[in-house]
Amino acid sequence: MTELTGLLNHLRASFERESVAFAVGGSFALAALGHPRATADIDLMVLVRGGDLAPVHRALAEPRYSMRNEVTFEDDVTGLFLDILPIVDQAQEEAFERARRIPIHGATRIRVLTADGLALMLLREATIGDKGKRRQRLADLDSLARVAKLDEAFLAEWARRMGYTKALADWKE
Amino acid sequence: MPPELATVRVNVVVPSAIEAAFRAEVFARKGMRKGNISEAITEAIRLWIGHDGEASDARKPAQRPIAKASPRRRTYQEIETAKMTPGERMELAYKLSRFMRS
Repeated sequence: MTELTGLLNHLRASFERESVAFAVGGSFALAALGHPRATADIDLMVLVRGGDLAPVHRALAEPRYSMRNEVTFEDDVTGLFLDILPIVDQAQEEAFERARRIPIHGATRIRVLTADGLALMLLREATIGDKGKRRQRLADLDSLARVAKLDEAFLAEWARRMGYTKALADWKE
Repeated sequence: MPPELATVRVNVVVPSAIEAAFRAEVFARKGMRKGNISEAITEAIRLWIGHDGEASDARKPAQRPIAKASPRRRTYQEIETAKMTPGERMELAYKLSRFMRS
């Protein structure tokens, strides 16, 4: 088993124990969809009631994880930071519901965002993030569009609904 | 040592995004091996100046043909990763991350 597979297996077991559903987003979802790039963190979208992170903290109360702040943990084995993203709005819910379970070597299946779900999350982060983050997210969206066919009508509709239209327009430029 | 085998150290400043993309491409083509960045840089310089030491078209803008609009070509990394499973691509992202940190 590889270090990454070990981490994903461990996360799956830990979150299942606390009945927390999660999906992998961010750069690792982008990698799964066809564009691997170096990254320091793994985004974990978590479905928790009312934003209560207590079950997540219980799941990650293991020696291998060091808590950096309420939503950031460091995995001592892989050196990756776990960015915990509680689902708090409709766009995140939509992306999470669209996520698909994909087989990971040595593990059962891990839920990973689809291309459209990830694109929606990139637009969201480009909208709410600072200038540097916005540039990186739009670059990731470019990379994603090169390896996956995106549903433009879906993105336009959600961008309109959630106020991501500027980010979408900037990306299309 | 014959002059053609002598080496020099070159310090250059390039955009970090270019450097990251270059390392990723080198990793995808040559794997994680000591010296492979130097090899790739040497190959890139050879391409730039021409194998026989003559400056390439890139150095002579006046002689360059007018570029025609064409669809972007897929990189070697994109072609290779398209053959992998999602799990393998995630592993590659992780290895790239380790490589960049090392």
